[in-house]
Amino acid sequence: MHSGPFREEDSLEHWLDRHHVEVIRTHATTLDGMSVGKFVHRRKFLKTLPNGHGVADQALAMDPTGMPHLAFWNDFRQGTFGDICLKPDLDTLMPDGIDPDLGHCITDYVLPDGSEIALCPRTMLRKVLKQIDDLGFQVKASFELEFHLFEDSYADARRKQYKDLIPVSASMLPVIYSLRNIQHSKRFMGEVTKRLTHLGIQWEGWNDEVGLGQIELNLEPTDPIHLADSVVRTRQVIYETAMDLGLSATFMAKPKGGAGSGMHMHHSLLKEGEPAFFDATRDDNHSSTLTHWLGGLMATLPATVSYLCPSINSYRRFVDFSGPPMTVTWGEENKSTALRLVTRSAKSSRVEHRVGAADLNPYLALAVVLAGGLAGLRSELQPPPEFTSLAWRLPEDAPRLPMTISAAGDALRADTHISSVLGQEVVDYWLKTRRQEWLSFNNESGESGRTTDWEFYRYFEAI
Amino acid sequence: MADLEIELEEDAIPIVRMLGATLKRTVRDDAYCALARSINGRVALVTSAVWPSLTIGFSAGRVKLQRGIVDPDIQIETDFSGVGQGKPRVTGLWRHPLLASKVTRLLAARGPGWSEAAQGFWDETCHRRDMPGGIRFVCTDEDRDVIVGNETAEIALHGTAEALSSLLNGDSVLTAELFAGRISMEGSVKHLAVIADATTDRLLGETTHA
Repeated sequence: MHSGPFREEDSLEHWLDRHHVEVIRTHATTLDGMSVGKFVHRRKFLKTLPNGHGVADQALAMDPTGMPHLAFWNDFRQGTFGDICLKPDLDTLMPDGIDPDLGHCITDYVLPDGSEIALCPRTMLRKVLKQIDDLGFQVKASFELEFHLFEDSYADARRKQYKDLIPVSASMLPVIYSLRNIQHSKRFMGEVTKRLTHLGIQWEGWNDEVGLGQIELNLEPTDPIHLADSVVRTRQVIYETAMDLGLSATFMAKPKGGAGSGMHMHHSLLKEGEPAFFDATRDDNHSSTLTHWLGGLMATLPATVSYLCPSINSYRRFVDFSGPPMTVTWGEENKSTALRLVTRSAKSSRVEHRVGAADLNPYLALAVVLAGGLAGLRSELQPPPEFTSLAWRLPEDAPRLPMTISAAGDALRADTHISSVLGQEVVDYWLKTRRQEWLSFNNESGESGRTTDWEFYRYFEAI
Repeated sequence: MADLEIELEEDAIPIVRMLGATLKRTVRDDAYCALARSINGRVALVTSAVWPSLTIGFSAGRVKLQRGIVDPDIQIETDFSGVGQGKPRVTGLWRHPLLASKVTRLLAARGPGWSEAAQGFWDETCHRRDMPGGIRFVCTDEDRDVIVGNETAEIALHGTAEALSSLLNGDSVLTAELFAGRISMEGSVKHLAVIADATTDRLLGETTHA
């Protein structure tokens, strides 16, 4: 008998007894990255296994305001607002560790008969990983989570319409790694990391980031499904902890002026447990696997932006010299390029993908980036030459990343590599959701040089 | 039809795409195409509603639409939902009366009536994936209906002649019309979604039929 996560060799009922779990909170993630689920009594949880309890199909097919997707269609839905199910992945069942009666379980969206739904973000990622596995590779990845923390409670933030919030910071100086600033976040982050540890989420470290009240939390490299599960759980923990301590936190990419919040993704491939990106016999240490993988990442980079920067607000982060990449470039140890390669040793060899915004859906972001790399492996694509300069404020003719949600959609529509891995149907559906987001913004708000009320109401607490 | 090139700015915002789509439909009529070809000058359209302004440049058989007010000869203040309805306020009319007259005529062009537009809508969209086999359009103020496709229409859309005409001529989107109460329906979410998608594509002048 062991404590901690449920394992197959254990009896589920015994595990629930031993951990005093009476209620299980199920957890799934919408296309936009919102956490959804239910608090389910253990009787119901057990009774509805293996397919899980029902939810209205809009639990997957809705926008960040809860509006069902009514202007485009996918066959997982029924013609009269039917149910789908949240199928528990029992490998993710964990006791809360703080609430004595509560357990947590990550779920997949499935049809009532248990068959998979291609649009389920977790299912999409799993399918990409299967294709990579078929080539004999495994993926190891990690994310850096950035977010803003404010002294205002969520209730106060709403009253203030999310404006003029007071950042949790020692001063008004946006200094990175400041031990003065970080001290103001210590109680909050101490509670966050305690809760993460209870949930079995391996974190590496956290620090004060450039923006006022901005914090970066780094997760340990692990397999992509576990990583994405950890990200959505971590976001929920951060929200709950802020709520419990009378603060507010947001994963909006640009909740205020100054530095925006990104979500850098580090990843590498392993073959038979050994790093596959490193080849000591070559001057640049780049294995042919890395070369082709990088070729795929670069060929698909503009197309992946739609997934990596899913919201209207995501694009406000793109400002020269403010940190985020602006161009379709890669470089060795170059933090101004979109892709930063680290190949100084076999153990550390990896790609840091620096485009993602803090509000991305981690399942979809991993799926689309890995799909790009996979396409490169399959087609033995070659990357363009390394970019060895500073990749900000370049002449107008430099290859730019898409800078709007509509331009990113156009880039994805024009690409064939991503859809060849993910499937045309899921890409088409995603494009419809982004068009709806773009239309809603333009219908209900309109362009502005600054973050709008529309964005605050839609995104501040949603992701 | 004589050639008329209609060009949108790069990464155009919705109102630019909508006006571009409307103009493309309008100039399918040879008379309106000739009218558009005869226009030279720049026209800014300004609205007091949420939509941003845009500028249309006419020059030698070429029309370019872009966001913002960019060096216009005349400026027309209007509600884009009702271009051609009522009297828009025109600035620059006295200096460019011909331009104002021609542009106002072009923008005031209306599509065919709802029953004729129903067939046009069907011809353009019936091949789309998951479209119903037939649609019944019920005009509530004329007390008559039109069925396109199979007689056993799987969805019925009810509305006034004006609302149906707007929807079927590519000037509105089904979901927005339903929420506003201008259209009601009998049918499934699936057919609502598929038709709404088609109306959105037509509104924006997109040709993707996924």
